[in-house]
Amino acid sequence: MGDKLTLSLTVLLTGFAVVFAVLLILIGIIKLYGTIIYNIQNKGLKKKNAPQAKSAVVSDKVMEPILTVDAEPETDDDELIAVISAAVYSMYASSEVRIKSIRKAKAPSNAWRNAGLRDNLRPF
Amino acid sequence: MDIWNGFVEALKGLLDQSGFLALSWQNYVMMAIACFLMYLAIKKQYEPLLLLPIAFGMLLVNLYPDIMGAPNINLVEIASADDPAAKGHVIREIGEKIYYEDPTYGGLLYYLYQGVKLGIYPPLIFLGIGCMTDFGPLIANPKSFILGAAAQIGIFITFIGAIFLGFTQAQAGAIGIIGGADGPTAIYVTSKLAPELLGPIAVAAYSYMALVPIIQPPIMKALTTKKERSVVMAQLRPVSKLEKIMFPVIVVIIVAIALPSAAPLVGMLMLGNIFKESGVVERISKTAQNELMNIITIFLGVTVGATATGTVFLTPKTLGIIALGLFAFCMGTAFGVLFGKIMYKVTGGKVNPLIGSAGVSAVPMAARVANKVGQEENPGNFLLMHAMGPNVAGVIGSAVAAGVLMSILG
Repeated sequence: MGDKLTLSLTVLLTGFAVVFAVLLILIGIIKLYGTIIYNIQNKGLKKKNAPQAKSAVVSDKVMEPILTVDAEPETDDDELIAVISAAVYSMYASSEVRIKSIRKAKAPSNAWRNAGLRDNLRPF
Repeated sequence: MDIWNGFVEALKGLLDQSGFLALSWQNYVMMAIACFLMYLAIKKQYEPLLLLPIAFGMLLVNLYPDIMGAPNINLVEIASADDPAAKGHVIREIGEKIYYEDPTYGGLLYYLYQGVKLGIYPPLIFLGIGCMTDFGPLIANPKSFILGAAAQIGIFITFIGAIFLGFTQAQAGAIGIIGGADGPTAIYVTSKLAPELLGPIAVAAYSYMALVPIIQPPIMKALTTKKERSVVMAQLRPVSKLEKIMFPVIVVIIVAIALPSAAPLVGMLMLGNIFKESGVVERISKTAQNELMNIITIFLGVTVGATATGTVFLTPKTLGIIALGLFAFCMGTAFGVLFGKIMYKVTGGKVNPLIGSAGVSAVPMAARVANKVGQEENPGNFLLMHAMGPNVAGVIGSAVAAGVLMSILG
């Protein structure tokens, strides 16, 4: 009885400690290299974007807007505007775009979207 | 008259060889169980990819036990070494007598079973799983590893239960690993620690994995409040390709150094993953996750099922294994959810404790169940990607737990 108890507690304690220790080390390392890679890649992006930003100011002054979305503004959420602007600039690969307004589009038929969601999330 | 006698003798010989006389009642009971498992696999679609070959292997071995028969060498006594019967055979002298060796070959499934016995198939299955797994959610939220580790506590608690129920320490380790909810890991550990229990443990492990949507939700609901289940988690950050490529290399270095016995499983899992994430060996990746994995699944399923002969399976021990396996599964789920609750408190309500239940591997079923239970409270809450973090962490966690068990008990 005593032997069984000793063995049980040894395995429980060792198992618990080793599994947590290994996975905690992994958490630390993944966080560390995640941060390093994020910083390196962000630095790279900033360097790339720096000269473009300059020209954007210039071109903004001279060029006519290429894209305008006419609508009444429905939101003043800065973050949302920033995200949409970034998406538009990324799509047109150019900074010669001026966004005048942002409006929520009418939802298209989302039967396919729903079918996809249902398929992916069906538990059983 | 001679023809008639010859005919009767031939029929008698065939009858003697047939299953009617050679099989015991246990074999017939096992055939019934095999048919029931086939029904579950085909009609109810409970893990059919594995349950169907397992059930058919079970049926085959109980119809014709020699299909798993090991090769043997019979010694046939001869008068002298020049005996024409011994031509081409190895001659052995034992004492005064002379024998020649007359080898008999093993059954078909015996040879295929060597891949299980020698621990070859489970790591190859892990290779395919690695090719199919996206560790992105785990890299985006590495804290998920805690939930993947917490769900493994069930393994070690079940080990204690099995020890006190009279199983040997190696058998108890093999039974406990059912709580890891990872079929290949359970088979790998059992083949190393207690190969005699392979049949019952494989059937229990795969049955419970198929029953995840039934077993887990009541435990998840009992341990959480409505408010906790309704938590909507913040969107995960995007993970760069470089991070995804570095992940398998880092994991395999850490795990193999800290716990060498887990290296075959984790190593193959990560090899598969780097095939996928590197994007430069698409052909290999496709083969590993399709053709190779399908072939191994057939061999693994049929031969594991073929270990379940009547005399091995129909014992009180099997009932004990099935009960302990369920207990292990429930404990794994419960500890995952409880650690999820701790994370909920620590983060000030940012973590939905339901995702902790996905720490018990069973990819991706456990994550889908966490998502479904979350949506019962809030239909607009999509926890799937958040639950995939602990889910894939559970695969690594159970492989690490397997390594611990094999190191201590092997």
